Amino acid sequence: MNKNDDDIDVLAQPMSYQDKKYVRPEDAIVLPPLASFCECELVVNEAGMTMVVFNKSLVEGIHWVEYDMDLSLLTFVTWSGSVMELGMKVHAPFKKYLKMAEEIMMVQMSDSGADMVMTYPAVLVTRHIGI
Amino acid sequence: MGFVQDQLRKTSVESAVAADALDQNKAVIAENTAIRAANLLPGVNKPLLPLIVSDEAEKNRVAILKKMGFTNGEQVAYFGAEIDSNPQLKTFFEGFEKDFARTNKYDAVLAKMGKQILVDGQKIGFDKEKAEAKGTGIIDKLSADLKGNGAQITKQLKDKPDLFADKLDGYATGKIDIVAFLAEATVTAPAPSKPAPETPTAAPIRKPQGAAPTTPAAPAPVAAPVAAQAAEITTPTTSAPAPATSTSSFSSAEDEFAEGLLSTLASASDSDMKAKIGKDEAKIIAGGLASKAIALGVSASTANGFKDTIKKDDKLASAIAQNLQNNPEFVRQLARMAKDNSTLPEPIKSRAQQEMGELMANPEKLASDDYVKTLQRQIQMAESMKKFDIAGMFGGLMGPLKGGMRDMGLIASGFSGLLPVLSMSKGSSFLPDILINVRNFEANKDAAMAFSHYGPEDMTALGKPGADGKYFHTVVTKNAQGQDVKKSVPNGQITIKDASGNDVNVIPSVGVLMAKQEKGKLDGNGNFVPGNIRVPVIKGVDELGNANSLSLVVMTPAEFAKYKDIADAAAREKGGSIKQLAFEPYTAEDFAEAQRKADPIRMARVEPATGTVMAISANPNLLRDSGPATTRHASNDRDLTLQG
Repeated sequence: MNKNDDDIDVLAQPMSYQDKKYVRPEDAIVLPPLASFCECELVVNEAGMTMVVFNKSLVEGIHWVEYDMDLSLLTFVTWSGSVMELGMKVHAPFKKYLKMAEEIMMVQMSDSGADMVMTYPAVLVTRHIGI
Repeated sequence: MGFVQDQLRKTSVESAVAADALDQNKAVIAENTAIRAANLLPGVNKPLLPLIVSDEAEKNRVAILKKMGFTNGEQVAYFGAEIDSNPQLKTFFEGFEKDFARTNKYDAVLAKMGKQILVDGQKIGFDKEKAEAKGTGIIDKLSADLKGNGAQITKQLKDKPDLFADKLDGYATGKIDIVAFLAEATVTAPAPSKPAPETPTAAPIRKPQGAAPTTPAAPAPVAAPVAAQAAEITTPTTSAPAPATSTSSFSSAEDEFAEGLLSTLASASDSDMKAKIGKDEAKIIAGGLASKAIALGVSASTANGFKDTIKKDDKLASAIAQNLQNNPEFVRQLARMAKDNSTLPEPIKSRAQQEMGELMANPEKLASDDYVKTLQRQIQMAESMKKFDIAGMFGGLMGPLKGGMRDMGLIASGFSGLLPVLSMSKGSSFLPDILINVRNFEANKDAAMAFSHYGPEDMTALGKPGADGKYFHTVVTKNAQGQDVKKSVPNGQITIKDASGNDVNVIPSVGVLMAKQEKGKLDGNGNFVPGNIRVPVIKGVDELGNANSLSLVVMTPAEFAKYKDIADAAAREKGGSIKQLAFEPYTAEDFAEAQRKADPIRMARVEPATGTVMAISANPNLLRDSGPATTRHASNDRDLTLQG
């Protein structure tokens, strides 16, 4: 036991990663990750402009997108509240540019990938706790 | 007349009014008065008699007759007889009735025409029987010249009413013929910069004949900022109200008045609009927008708050009025959208609701020039797409494109050129295809916006009148039950196949608009494949043979070649000033030149499984994964900076 009060850090972060594991609400509908059912691509540029391109129709339109910098996750939230992950880890090189973005262009291409079917912007929310 | 008169004679009130009703010089007003009186009579389960003409049409007629300078019933009756004996001209004028009555754009024309009609009438003592016979008066003359010149006359009247009025005297007296009369209306020059005006519709200008009375038009939804049809294109953005829809009719007289106001403004000139839109009109238009928002699903309290805020704040209303005056095309677009009843698909509908909600919560946006101009561009794009069959317009390259039009321009500028790009994909990169699509889209969008400025009168349908002088013939087909079904088909109509293989009925035509070939592409062997061709076509004509429905159809090169041969042959036979369908091809040389000028894509690829970064490639034709030249592992480089 440490008798020095200064050593007791009540705001200390949990010891294990598992203690901070993100838990979805029980009633949230979780859709299969995007990359599990179609080809998809995450594209950013130096100015923070971001696109997610895919070639299959989604169950529902995307209302907003959440970027968790700590977990390197990109999660799409539909208009009815269902959630769907990108299905690929958002590697470190993307952090610097993705965190500047305020919206992501959702771009649906045809099956062959040659023709554009639909495109619309979705608001991007970035979560960075620093764990 | 027989049924109405029988009803009228049944009561003392009826008989008292009947005397007026029988007086041909007080036709409409008297008859309506009689019918109203008859409807007030007691009776059990007595059916109400419908008015001969609607109140609106009645007022329009009176206004027009006054503008023409008629002062008594004898003159009106003579004019009615002249018009009735020229049904084609009657139809022609029917389209202008609302504009004639409600705007002052045509006042000079009406005054001149009325004066000439009086001169003609005086020559024959305003005799109705003589009026019904063919003569040399201006009405008969104009009616005769309408054949084959309907489009030109319409254009002249709509675009240059003052010139029309100036030349009317010379035309009426025979000093100039129809060619000289229409000399400046020839449809061969590049398109005018303003959009094609909407053809107004109204009750006919005629004396009631006892036929079934016209009923008021069903109220239509108030204008939405943008509108779209299911499976078609809309242009919502994050900064402006998105395409909206309405499935409800007017809920109040206020909304109906807003629609009527917008209809009037739609046909006004820019200068007229400045004079007509004040803070009161701005409040009315805002009320209409609020109703539209409620129909879209925005909360009534928010929408009503928007309406009330503008109603109570004269300063804001004045600022909005000023902004609307400075953006007359926006007002016309609102008016055109007023009758739109289409349904939006998701996710557009939800976004439209969200963005309309933002407008309702921020009424001052309507006073912002930037906001309205952005919205106007979106509306224009959606309008042209909806009007001209977006799937056909963009052919196989893009299909129905929903939303984010403005943003596609940003994508084009942000993901090509010298800005390096970081990409991670499961599968190959989509980026080169996207950029090609966006470049094509931008070009097509400009073309679509330019196209939206045209109307059917800019093309000449090449159907010929039959032996009966009509431009339609009856075709008898069998329905699924084997029964004969008669259908009226325009003369000269042919069936072509669009690029998707669908049959499209068109009437060959030539005119101001040209057919343009889309950019081709390379096949798997690197050979150039020519693109399809976007062809302006006429899909319908009126009874005078004038085009009244313009569309854009995408055809394969082979199909277009057949269509062009037919159209050119028909044009030569007609002998008009335009001898062939204009066509702009896109050749292999054009394609090669475009490739040389293509923007490079500087891309660093990240391998999704390992995070490995592949070197930046500057290949402008970066197709599906050409493979890395060198690799860098990103695991120990948390903050990789894109370097060129």
